[in-house]
Amino acid sequence: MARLNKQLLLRLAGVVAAVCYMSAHATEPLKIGVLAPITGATAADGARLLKAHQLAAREINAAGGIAGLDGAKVELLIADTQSKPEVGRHAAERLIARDEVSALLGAWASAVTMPSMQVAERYRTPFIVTSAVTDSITERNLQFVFRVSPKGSWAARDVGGFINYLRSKGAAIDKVALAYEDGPFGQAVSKGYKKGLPAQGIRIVGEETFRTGSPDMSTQAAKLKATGADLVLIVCYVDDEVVLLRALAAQRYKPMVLGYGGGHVHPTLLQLGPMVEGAFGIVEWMPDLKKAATEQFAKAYKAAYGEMPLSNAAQAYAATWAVALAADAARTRDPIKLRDSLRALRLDNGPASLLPNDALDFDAAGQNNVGNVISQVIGGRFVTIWPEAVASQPLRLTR
Amino acid sequence: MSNFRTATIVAGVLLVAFAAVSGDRYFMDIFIFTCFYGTLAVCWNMMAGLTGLMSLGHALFVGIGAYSVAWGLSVHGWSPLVTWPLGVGLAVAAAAAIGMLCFRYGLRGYFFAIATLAFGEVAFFTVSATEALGRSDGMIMPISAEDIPGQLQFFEKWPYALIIMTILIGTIAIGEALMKSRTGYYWRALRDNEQAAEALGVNARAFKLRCFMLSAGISALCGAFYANYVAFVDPRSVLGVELSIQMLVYSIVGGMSLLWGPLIGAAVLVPFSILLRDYSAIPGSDIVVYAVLLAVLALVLPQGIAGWFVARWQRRRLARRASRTAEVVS
Repeated sequence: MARLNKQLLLRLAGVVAAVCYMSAHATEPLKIGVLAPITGATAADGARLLKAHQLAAREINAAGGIAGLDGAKVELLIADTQSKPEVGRHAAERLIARDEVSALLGAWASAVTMPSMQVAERYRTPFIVTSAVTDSITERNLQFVFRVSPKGSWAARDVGGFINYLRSKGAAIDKVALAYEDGPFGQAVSKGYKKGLPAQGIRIVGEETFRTGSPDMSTQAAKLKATGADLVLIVCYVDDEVVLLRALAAQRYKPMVLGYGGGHVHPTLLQLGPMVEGAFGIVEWMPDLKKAATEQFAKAYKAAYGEMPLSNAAQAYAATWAVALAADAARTRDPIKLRDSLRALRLDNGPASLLPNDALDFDAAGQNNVGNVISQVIGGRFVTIWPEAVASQPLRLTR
Repeated sequence: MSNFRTATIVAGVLLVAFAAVSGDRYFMDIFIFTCFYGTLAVCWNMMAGLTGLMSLGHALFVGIGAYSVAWGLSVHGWSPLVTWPLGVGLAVAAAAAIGMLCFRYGLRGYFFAIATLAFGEVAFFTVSATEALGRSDGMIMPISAEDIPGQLQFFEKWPYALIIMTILIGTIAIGEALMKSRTGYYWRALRDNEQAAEALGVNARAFKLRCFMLSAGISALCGAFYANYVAFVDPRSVLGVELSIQMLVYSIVGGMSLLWGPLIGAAVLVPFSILLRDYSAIPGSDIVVYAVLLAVLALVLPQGIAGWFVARWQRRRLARRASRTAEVVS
């Protein structure tokens, strides 16, 4: 009798354990690691990225989780990189070894992204680069690295394409000049322009550099005027661009201008009023892109956080959705199968399709083939005017 | 073996620690970085604590080692058998050049520190602007899916741990041998009073240069290891002034008067700062706690953790000897 009871107890215990295991397994979330600078020099950017990641996770979970994984919820494991390469690398190490995440997203700056993604590559966990633009990230034949943002050098390609578009619309652009801040940022982008534009039949007639934070740029403005350029390509932070545009106006020199990235598409610039009206800017994404997914995202982001999202938020949002959809399609939490699923992914509708290309689609190198868009200041607002497929308003040629 | 007592103890402790963390990649990573920073601090302190040469640009040599490996592998596909000696050779040559300039013009104390800082910063900005070295973005090194022992590519972490342990034990052993040799006595003499030592016939310039070159060579070895382990180098991580400061902090906290003092500093601070960062609830709070700890340690243990232990131990031994003498007398 005692023996029977013991057996019975053992069996019961086994059943209970199995039930517990199964129920625990059924609700086990899809773990996604997020590397972002929460403290340190770029903490403000990190906070914006997190908002977008969290918005995507909330939307996925509110819609019943991931259907392919029996309604599993998305769980974001957020790690602070402190904007330091070594801290980011160790965080990736921890998220993979300790938390056993299925995928990693991040990690803002290129110098932090690269060591972190090397860890992911070694331990066979997919890593979606959300915002780093260094070309080589997707040129090293890495098997687990994907990128939703464009390569840095594609800015020159797209500016060239846009200039030729302007010409086709009747704008006489013969001579182009460069004005850029002399730090690594300005140097890297302007180098891309100097290499990429002549190949597309665009003549660069002059270049002026300045130290970021310069209070006066009348010398540079005078020299730019002397080149007689029809279009000035500007690469700098917003405060410098304000000073430069004022200096150009003071010289009574009114070329077309084309600014770069988030340093241009910045509310501060609009305070220049008529002086900045008509100015172009190249940027990776705009909240007014004519795409259904963009419109929905911008609305949801505004409703949740009370501000308009920037391009990096859109990329972070797309990356989070891409992982969830890839896990759903392949019904897996396994990092290697998830990688295979990401490779096969092609999203031409739904929330992940908010970037300016036709579909979120990673090529063999893991690169999403996405171009930049051109914005123009029309009526005191930044609006998308190129490529025509996603433009919210037509181009306005003032001259 | 008595000649290498410290090295033997360190090796024993390291083996125990290695056995304790093996099988867990996360703790293994912390262990590897503790050894890495420990080696750097020990070789930095050979100059600062034992010879009286305060360098604030030691990251320069780490960077030379790391960039030699990264550049050699990703551009030419060279094996570590080529790139490690290349990195160490270049670092020793750089130390010889900088040392000869500094010692020729008699730079001492703060002035030597500032000069090394300047050389380090020049290298930092030069590499940050050099296209062939990946500018400020850094260089990615290829990683293969399979282990390639000849390229020091392993999926598991224990081979890396063994390599850095070997470097660390070797550094301690060399330091210990030198400390007991004529060179070591000359170094300490130069630290305590350079003019007096020179008056007694010590060739100050030659012995300081020797110390500088040795320290630079070991730093480059660590840098080469770092490049192979992390498979990515960037100016901020391997050439930045932060790395030089870290060596100084671990040395001060551990105890600068002892060869192995800095190792204690690294062994306490490196795991502590990482674990604190990983398990603190509020982002950024770890930095505050770490800073407070540094301040407290500097106030309470000015001679460092190791220095405090040794002083206590010596006091106790003296007391015991005194009481024994007292017994005999009574």
